[in-house]
Amino acid sequence: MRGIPATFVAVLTAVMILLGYFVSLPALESARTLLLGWAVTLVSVAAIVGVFNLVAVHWRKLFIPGRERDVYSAFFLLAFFVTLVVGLWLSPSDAQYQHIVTSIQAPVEISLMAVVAVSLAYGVLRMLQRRRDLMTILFVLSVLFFLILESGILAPLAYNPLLKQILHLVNRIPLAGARGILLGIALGSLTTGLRVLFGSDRPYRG
Amino acid sequence: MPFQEGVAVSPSAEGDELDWLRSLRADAGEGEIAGGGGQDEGMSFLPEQEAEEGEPDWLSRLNLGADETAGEQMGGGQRFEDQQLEQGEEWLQRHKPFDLDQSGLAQEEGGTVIPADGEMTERLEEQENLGNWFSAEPASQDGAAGISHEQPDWLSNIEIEQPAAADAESFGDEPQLFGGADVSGKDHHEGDWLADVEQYDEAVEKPVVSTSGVKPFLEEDLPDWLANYSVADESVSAGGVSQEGEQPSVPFEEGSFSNWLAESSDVEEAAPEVHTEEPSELSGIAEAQLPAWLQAMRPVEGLPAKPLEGGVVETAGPLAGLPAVIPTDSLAAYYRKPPVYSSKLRMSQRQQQQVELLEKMLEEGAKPLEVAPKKRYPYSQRIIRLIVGLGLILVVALIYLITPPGMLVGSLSPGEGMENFSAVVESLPADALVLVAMDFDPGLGGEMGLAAIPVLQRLIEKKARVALVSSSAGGVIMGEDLVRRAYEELGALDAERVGGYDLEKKVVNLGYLAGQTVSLQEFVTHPMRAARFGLYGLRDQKQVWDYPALQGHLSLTDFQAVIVVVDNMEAGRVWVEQVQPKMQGVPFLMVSSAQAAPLLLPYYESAQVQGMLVGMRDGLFYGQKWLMPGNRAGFWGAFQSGMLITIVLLLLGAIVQLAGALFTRNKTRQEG
Repeated sequence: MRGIPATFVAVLTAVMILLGYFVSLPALESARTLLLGWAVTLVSVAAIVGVFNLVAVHWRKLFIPGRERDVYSAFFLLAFFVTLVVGLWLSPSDAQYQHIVTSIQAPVEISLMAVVAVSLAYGVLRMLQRRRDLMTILFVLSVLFFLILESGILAPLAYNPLLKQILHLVNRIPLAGARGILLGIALGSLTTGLRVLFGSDRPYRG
Repeated sequence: MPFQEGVAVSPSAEGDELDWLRSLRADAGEGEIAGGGGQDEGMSFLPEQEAEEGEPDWLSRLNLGADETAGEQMGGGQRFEDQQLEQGEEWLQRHKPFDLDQSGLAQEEGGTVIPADGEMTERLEEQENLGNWFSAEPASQDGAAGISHEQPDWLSNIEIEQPAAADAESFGDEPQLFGGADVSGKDHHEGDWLADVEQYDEAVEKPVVSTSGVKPFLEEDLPDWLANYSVADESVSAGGVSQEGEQPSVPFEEGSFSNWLAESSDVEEAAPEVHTEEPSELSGIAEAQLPAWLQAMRPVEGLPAKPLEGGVVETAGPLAGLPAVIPTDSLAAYYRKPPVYSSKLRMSQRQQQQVELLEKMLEEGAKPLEVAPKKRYPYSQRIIRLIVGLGLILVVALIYLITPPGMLVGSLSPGEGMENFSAVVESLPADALVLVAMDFDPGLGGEMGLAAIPVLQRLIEKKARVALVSSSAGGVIMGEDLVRRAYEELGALDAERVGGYDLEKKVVNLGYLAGQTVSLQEFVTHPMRAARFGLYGLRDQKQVWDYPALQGHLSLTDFQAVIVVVDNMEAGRVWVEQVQPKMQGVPFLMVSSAQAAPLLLPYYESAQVQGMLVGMRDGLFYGQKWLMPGNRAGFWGAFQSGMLITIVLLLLGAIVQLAGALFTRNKTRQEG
């Protein structure tokens, strides 16, 4: 009984938004705009709540006694509060403040990507050490083939029309898989929308 | 049972009532008084007035004895009656008892009839008219208790009749109980009762035992008329349930009686002997207060003292003390050995196979996973990891550093969408308004910078107005940085190419759109509300749409191209699905990372995206095409070297592992 009002509101909202896409009525357009504004505000508030939750989690991890104490949470909290204070003081439009992102955050994240690259290279070396079955061998062969293809080593061969067609055909394989994934996502989104629209799926119940 | 006036014996309403009967009533009242006096000391049954005028001897002695033995109970009454019997009829003729049947004479006090003082004298005078032989006859309320075989027969019969009459009167409300016979004595002819008394005397000596069932009265306690009635009419059951001429209704079928009930007839034969002895032994006990018919109904008295043979005496419950009540022997015949059911389950062959399969699965699931022992290698894995990492970094850095800037890359082959992308950009007029979405994280800033900076430089070169927007928090700042780097690098290469291009006037940052899909939907429909102040609006105290770059343009359709720079598939999909349909023919271009390109290329192939530039490779090609600054050969050489090292490591690892497996197999064969 408690979920009936929530379901009613959800279905009514969904119908209004959906009709706003297909029917050009000023009233529906206004309602859709109003609901969208509310949604954006709620999402923004949710982001703020997420920030506070992140800080609280690291705060607890820092003061947990014993081995579960995470010292790195202190670095996180320090960086957070420094960035917050500087951002409130200088505003994000300040060039010095933007250096926090371009000179600290970007290099750190790029370094992490470099470490990922090294780890992947080492993983490739040991790929056949753990498992040596048919699927593993196929995977290794596909990785090897596309690494060679993307490296540009075979670029001079593109001048040959036959080889160019072959390379084009091989490049279509990932696209075929990607198109299947997109179709699956679209069908899943459509199904989920219909379930919410008909009230059979009520994720807002909590 | 207290004697009630006018009930046992009818009052003298009829004129032809006999004198002896009136005297009998008087005796009954006197006897009750005497009995009552013996039972309760507080009950004075003789008025003081009569005592003063000259009370009889026996009464004087009784009073004297009553004074001496104040508080004495039934025993006093018994002695009083014994004395009366010894004195015989002589004193009975000289004294006249009270007639307590007269209305208004008695007042009940505690169940005892006590005559009033004033009325007692008058009553005595009236009593003198009665026959002497009968008027002075003492009687006891509970005549059975005081009866002695030494009494005269006629007296004994009278005394026995009193309680019986009283008892019969108690059933007067239920005449059918006695088969419709009138036991009140109204219609009964009093002249016949003497004959009944004689018959009753004989019955006392030889009691008639009824075998039809348990009767409400013991034979000894029955009044003569009732006893005769019972003997004469055997069809009337003891309980008076069955009608005359009908078979007595028995609640149990024959043969289903328990032992004690079946032998009730034998017990009844022994009952008179027991009761004839009781008056002498229990003369002082108030047994007479219990109606005789109720005594006869007590099964305990009808049972033998010792349990019957073969019976079990119950020790608890309502049947406690009763032997052989539960017919266990007969019940045993109804029971037989319960059937034995087999616990073996009957299954078909297919079901057995399924059971075996299920058991096998459970056994396999219950087994712990065998953990392969760690292989010990002759070399340290950490050293190998270190060698791989350092080798990659050294090779990539070395290639980048040794490659001379401005060197052309000859092995670049652009992607399918790069040509269209370049064509759309070149189709833009001078001072065109272009919306550039910077939706990528700083972690992929290196790749996205190499792909997007040549495009931004070309836009700067074409003097296009650029509006930056991002649905990623880091993308806002990263976009600002890319625009500044593009301007500076292009200006460093050739100042004329950026001449007259003012970043403050040509570039505007709409800021961060929080909420991903929802915010993009709002941005498409109401861009001025979704991005009101932008990144610098609060600083400059004006709305972002008032900046020179956007002046006069209030909707997204005013933009002449939309370029989305994304590093992940989800962000690119949202932009294509939410924004592109609302652009109304505005060219929609995309700069994608290499990892997201396979998933975004379908949008390009479906013409939702008019041009697509993928990763570093297409960016270098686009920059080389338009002679943009940058060490493209160095970046491309480092990238290719890193890819080659990865390929070598993969092949090396595969060869080593396969060789090791072959070596182990051969070794195992040799050992086997």
